[in-house]
Amino acid sequence: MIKYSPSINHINLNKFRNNKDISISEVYFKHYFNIKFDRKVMYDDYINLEVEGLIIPVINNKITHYDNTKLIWISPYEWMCISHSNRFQNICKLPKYSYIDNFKSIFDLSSAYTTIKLSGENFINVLSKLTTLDILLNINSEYCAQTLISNIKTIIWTNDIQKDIFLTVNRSYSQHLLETILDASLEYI
Amino acid sequence: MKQINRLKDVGLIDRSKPIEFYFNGSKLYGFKGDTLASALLSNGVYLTSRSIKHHRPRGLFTHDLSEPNSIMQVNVKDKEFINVSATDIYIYPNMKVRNINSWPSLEFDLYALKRIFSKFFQPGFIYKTFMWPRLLWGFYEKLIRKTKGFGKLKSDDDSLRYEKKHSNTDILIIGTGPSAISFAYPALQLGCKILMVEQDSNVSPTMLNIDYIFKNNDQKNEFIKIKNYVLKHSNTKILLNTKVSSVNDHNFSTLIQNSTIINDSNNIYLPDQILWKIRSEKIVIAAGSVERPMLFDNNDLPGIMSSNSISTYINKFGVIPGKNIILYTNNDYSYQMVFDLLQYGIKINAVIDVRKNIHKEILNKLEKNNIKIIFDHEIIKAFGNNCINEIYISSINTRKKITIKCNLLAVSNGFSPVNQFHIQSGGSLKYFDKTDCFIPVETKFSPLHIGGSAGVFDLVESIKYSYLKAIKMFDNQKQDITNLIPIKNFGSIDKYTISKFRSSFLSKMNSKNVFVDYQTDTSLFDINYAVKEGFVFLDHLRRYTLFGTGIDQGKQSNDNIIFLLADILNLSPDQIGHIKSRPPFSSVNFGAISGRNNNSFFDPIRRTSIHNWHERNNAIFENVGQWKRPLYYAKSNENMQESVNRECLAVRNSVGVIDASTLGKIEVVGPDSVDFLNMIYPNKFSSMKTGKCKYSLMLNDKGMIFDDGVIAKLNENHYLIHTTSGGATTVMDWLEQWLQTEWHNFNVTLRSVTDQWTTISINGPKSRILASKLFKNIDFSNESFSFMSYQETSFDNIPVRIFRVSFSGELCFEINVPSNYGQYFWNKTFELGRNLSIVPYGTEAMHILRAEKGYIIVGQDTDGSVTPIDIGAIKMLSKSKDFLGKRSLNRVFFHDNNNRKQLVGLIPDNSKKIIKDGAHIKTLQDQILSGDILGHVTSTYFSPILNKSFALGLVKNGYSMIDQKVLIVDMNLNKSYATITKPIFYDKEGLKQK
Repeated sequence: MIKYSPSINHINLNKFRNNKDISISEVYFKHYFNIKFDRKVMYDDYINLEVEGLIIPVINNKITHYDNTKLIWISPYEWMCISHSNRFQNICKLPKYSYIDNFKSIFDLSSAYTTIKLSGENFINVLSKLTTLDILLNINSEYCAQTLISNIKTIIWTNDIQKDIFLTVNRSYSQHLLETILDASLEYI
Repeated sequence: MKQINRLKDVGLIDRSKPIEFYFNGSKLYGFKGDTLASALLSNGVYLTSRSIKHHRPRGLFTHDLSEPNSIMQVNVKDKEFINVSATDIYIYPNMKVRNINSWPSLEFDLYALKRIFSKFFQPGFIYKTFMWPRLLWGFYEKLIRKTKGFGKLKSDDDSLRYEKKHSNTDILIIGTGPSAISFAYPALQLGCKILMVEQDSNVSPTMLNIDYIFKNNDQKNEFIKIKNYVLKHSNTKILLNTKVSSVNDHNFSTLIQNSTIINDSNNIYLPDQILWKIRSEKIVIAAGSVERPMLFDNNDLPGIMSSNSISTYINKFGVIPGKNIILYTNNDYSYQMVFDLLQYGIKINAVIDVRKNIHKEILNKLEKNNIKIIFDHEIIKAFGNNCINEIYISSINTRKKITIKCNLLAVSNGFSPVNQFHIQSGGSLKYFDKTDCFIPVETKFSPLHIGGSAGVFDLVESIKYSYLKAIKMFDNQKQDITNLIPIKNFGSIDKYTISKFRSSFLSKMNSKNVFVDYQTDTSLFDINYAVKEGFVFLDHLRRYTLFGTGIDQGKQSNDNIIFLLADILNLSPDQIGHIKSRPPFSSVNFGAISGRNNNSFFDPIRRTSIHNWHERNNAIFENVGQWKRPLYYAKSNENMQESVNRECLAVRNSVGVIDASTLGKIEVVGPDSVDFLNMIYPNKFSSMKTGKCKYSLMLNDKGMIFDDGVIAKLNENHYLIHTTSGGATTVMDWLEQWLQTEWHNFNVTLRSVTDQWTTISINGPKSRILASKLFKNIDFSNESFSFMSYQETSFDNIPVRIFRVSFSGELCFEINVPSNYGQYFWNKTFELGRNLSIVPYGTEAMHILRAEKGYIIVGQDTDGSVTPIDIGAIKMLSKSKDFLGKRSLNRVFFHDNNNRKQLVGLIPDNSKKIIKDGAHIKTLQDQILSGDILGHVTSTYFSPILNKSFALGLVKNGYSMIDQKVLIVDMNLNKSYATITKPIFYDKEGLKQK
């Protein structure tokens, strides 16, 4: 029996797979960690923090990535680590690093989130129907933002805005968000 | 194919694509690119509608959104457009158009007989006449509505597909005319992103006849160069067929695109209408102006049109709306129509100008073409039945009168700048005598106005003016303007003039046939009448006569009325003020406002990880907050009560499982967690041991219950608090608010983990057996795993948290697994529980089971005014520590049993009948509609295990009324009787869950 059960219905996605106009897919990440550090330490004492070879972004709305791992800036003292690599499970052991003994917390939220990837020529047009955030104006490469998409709190992030965008959303909302995106995408299919 | 008014090879229509359409059942023809208005005129249809009040014959007056007369009901395929202006919709094959407001036909309208009694129909007639006897108003209303009003709404669902889009830009320019192009030119050079909005299907629709607009070729070539630069620039975005609906504070505006464009492609998912929400750094209004009609007797006859609309019909559609043409004007600008006609070899019969002289250049051109011009004259009256055929004019000076034949009268009474957007965004206007119009008073934060909207009516002048205004704006913004390419060849401009014309006849006539607002049938008489009745303030006058309240919002009538009122009261227009225009500027479908936010997309839906299983097993869902939760699992041979009874009995007798994933779960981490929880909850957490659970109420600062749940100590400085399903977000906000404001010194972090964990609650006497099968490594005996305790383990390498708590009153294990594996674990649970007669149960059974035990549901058994004392939880309130709400609860009032409502049980006399939710509880001595209400029923069910109905309720001084009988009165005023009991009906000792 397959243990993992996806939060969204993949049958709905069939005609949106690898479509040049609008392509929609779920991207599975094994780990989602929420990390909080003491803000003062972060900004006063360190310019770059490195964990397992990964630079923690201290600039707002930035992401850093290495292999299949992304570190997403959530707030001045909060990050989301999204990873498909077991190597970065070690991020849970952050307290062992001398420079982050003022950490606040790390929560394993690996089952709490779903990530949907949008690409194709019209993905920005689709998003403009669902969010007030001006994607092109505000989102550059290696950028992230928290916003409402179709009234659902979503973390938007991208490696390269010209190519694709990722929407990380609470698992319980993911099917609804997907259905909304599919409805908004229909005109491009 | 008859096109009696169509010129050959003129206009932007596609003559290779003829289109057949129907107007009031008659088959007519037009071409692709024709509006309904141009197509009707090309077919020689002048009578297009009937007026709303007097059913007078009306025809097209304009070519744009300001059209007051020709309002239509249009059907194309399965789509219907209601109250759409003929000037605002293009024709489509087999389009069916009906005029509104006539019966039995447009030409023979029996409602027009009302005009016989028109002397009774003064303003306020309906309100004064039909207000008595009051009971008959319903009858009158039906009759009145039948003879009045606009289009008819369909009763079935809207067939249009709507979309909402958001966009941000540096500068939003409303309009694409010459002034807009000129403003955009320097802005683009400075790197601005520009969004231009055009209501027409073409850019710069006023510039179609470009050869006749510019004074010389240098000007023309310069403008073409600028236009190409702007339109082809990568930072320019243009929305065609888009109307501005509103301009609001902070440069936020809403636009409606394709509101009357019909999606005739094969893609059924293309939106019919798009509501754009635009956020910009600056808004520039280049929306032009509206030409005002002249006031004279019968000035509403078909065949009387605005002069620049005639120009548009000729230049854009190749349509001449009549033959014997006369221009009646007070300004030089309207002569453009004469020259447009001359271009195609059409000479008008005469020009009647109220002035004594006109611009020399115009006069020379007229004389050169032998066009008769009659100076210093005004029209007194027009004649005709369904179309004008004669006018009666008078010398302003000598009062000598003559009659002239005509069947197309072009009128121009000056221009009203489109200033409604300025007013919508909070701006004010000032009257300018020189141009006889209201001009926006701009401030630092208001939109900028250029071209006709700023009172600059000359197209050539507006190009120069707009460029300079842009330069000034950028200079004020400290931008480097030194390298901007200037506009050449737009040096000195020889200005045209407008005469401020007020007919002296008007004050004498007081006619009912001088119409100041066509759409609402407001006449000169109505204005005079209303003023006599004391409605001298503009807004009062507007509400009394209804002028400016039609679909066109009085775009071309409002200023005429202001000037008229100023004359009547002998005041200046500035003293009268201006109309407070409100959004929308142009009509917007409700569907467009809601966009995708309807039906299943109205509100986000949350699903648990086991949702698909519930669906497959016939779960009937209920909404709990945004969650979808199974209410019960339907079986084909059962009704709801039977299903719920089956589920309840399974829990009481064997084992039942419920998906409780929706319960809010918040982790509290940090060295100050205990102090934080001690402040949040009334219980004491200092001595709580790891692995233990505690039930608590959450109180607000007024001491009222606003949530509840179990708190588990997972580890040292690590707690998990549970909340209600619907209250999780509120609780999280509440905790963060206190943590970030009052107790920011606490080293505590909060994190919602609701989505992380799927909660599967196993309830019933056989739940221990099932749990043991699932987790062979755990001893589930009372000694090893006692009530209100917690253990961690794993299942197939999946981390698991098990809480021994109970909301059903039975032995219960709440098992939390990561949501990615929720479905897997649920399946395993059923697989191993098959021999134990395992049954899934829904929230209805859950409610019955908890109510049998007297467990409350916050928000159902409490209502924001209930304290822990009221529900008998006084022991929960710690005396040795402070907590939120403690000070409030110390008030004497909360301890006064005689005045507080307390939670009690109710056993109905009729044990098979379920009392209605919310029914009032009264003493036996009271009557249904009299006497005090002691309280109300909060929860009411039929208990299958007790085989009787029961209820919970809040009753004043309820604790002292145990065993007393009370009267129950429901909302339908049905009465029944019940006995008050303690609020616990099953397993009073609580042995089963322990």
